[in-house]
Amino acid sequence: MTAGVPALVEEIDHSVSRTSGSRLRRVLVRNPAFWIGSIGVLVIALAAVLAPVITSHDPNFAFRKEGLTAAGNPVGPTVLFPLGTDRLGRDYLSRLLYGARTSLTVGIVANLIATAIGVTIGSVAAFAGSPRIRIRFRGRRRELAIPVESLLMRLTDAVLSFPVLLFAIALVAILRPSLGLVIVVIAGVLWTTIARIVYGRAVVIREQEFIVAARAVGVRSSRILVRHVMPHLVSLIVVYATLGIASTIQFEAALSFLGVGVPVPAASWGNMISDNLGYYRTDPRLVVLPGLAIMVTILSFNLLGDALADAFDPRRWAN
Amino acid sequence: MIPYLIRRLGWGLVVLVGVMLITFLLTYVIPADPARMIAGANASPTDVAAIRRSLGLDRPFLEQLATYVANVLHGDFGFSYHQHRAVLPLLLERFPATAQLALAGLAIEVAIGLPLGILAATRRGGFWDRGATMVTVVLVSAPSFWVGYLLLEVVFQGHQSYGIDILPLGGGYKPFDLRYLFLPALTLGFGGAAYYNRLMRATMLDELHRDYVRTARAKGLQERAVLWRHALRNAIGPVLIQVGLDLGFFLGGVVIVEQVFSWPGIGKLAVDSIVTADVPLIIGTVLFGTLCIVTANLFVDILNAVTDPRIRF
Repeated sequence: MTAGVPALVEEIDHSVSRTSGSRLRRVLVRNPAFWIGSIGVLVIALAAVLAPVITSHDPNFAFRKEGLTAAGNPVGPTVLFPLGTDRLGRDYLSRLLYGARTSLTVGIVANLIATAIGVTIGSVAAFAGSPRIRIRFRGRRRELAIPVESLLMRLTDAVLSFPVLLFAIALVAILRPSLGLVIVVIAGVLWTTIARIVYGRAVVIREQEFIVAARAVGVRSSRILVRHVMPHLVSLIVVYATLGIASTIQFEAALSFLGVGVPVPAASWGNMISDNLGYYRTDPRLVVLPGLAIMVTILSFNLLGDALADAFDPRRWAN
Repeated sequence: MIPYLIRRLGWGLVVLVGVMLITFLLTYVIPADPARMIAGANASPTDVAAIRRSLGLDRPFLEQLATYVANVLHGDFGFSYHQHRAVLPLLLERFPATAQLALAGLAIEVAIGLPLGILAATRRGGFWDRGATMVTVVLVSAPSFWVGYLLLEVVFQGHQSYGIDILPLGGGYKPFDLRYLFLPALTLGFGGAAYYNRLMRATMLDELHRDYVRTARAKGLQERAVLWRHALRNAIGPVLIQVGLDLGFFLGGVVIVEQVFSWPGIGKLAVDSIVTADVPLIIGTVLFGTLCIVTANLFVDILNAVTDPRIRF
């Protein structure tokens, strides 16, 4: 009997996810936001991966002769430079393409870290409760309850009440900018959203009968978390990880714009805007193009995330 | 209610102390020597040592930490290396500019977001719902620094080509002058409007599906009355909470918009202090920002506990 109950529980889990799979696809393919979003993401990912194939110019090489006018200004689009050059005579197309690399690297890596931290803290907080540990104090055994749940969630609240952008600026400015630091700082301040969302859902799951049943037959908390709870959190995590990439890219662009992002000369869309602001009036291309690139990228991830959220919402399956 | 509020207050203090600890660690680990930065490049080693002593930098770590916390609690946020002035007065000088921008930006967020959200919720799946969602997802995806420059350019072109001279060119600041305030507030408002649209739509949809709404409709109440007198009253709560929290967040410095429009607020001060590596000033802005957010959180908690009889922790 003890062996039978968990099997039943897993069977229910499995059947739920199987039916949702086909419904999910049906809702997704009918949503134009899904198509626009995924095509946008695909195009930007390809641009980033294929950057060396699409353009033969080094993004950091300054063409002092061909890339600048006699007066030392950037040149507009030519055969040699399809999108013109920037204020140092560097090929703008190459910089935009390599900028996509920077944005996607930071966006994806920082967001993976943030998601991992957020999911761990959120789900552990929901399931750890207040474990008691035994300690010896002055020769006597005592039991000490550690309120893991409230500790972790209060920590999340605390980070949520940080002025995150100011904090990130301060950190990067004091510790000298580098790609790694930017990733760590962004992950370090943006994990709270997903932690709260995962915690909110996990607390509801915690009270469900199949979890009580699993506990009753003696399944360990860690196994319950991984085998029984996680499958229910996957949809939530996928949605917020996708939307999270959008906010991470926006955050990186903001840091780069302020000069505390990925260090120069590496191309980043944010620093391309601040770098060429002096030419904004005479040559708007230099500011408009990187801004468009940021917007299209963020928009694509937002649309994709929204479409996924819609598709995972059971209320949508009815029609 | 009183014990609940005391707990919240205590928690706010814990957050503040936590941030102080982190900021202190930051100043402690930085490679640059504050004494040398104050003394200047030509100072003799004995002068630098004297400054070190006067700043207490030769004291043990814990003693420095205790002094730092005590100073902050007494309103001493440190001393700016670059401006040769105490940090707190510098921040307070900039506060009115930031406060104006924060209030105006928030007003625009709410003015765009709430009507769109209500409209979207009442016409779910229809033209207005899709339209509002589409517009707001585009707005939230456009980086505010870029939108700000585009708006400035539109104003500039309007001036050059048509001689329109309503708004000042190139940003800038004049106290309580709405013409200077308009574009920065609009830029700030665009990003947040999307968020308020979604929040309003979600809370409104929640309420519209409740039993009391069905009852109100069943007893023959006009749809307008159901919407405004019943559903909206209940749905607006979470939105007002968010307004309070956002206000706290903005009051601590609207970094990017201030930078774009040369708006002399706390956020611009923070960005400028990066260039001069003015560590006490950067950290002062972080502390001040935290203080604003913690205060706003507390205020929202109190307001919430007073107005919502269901909240009794």
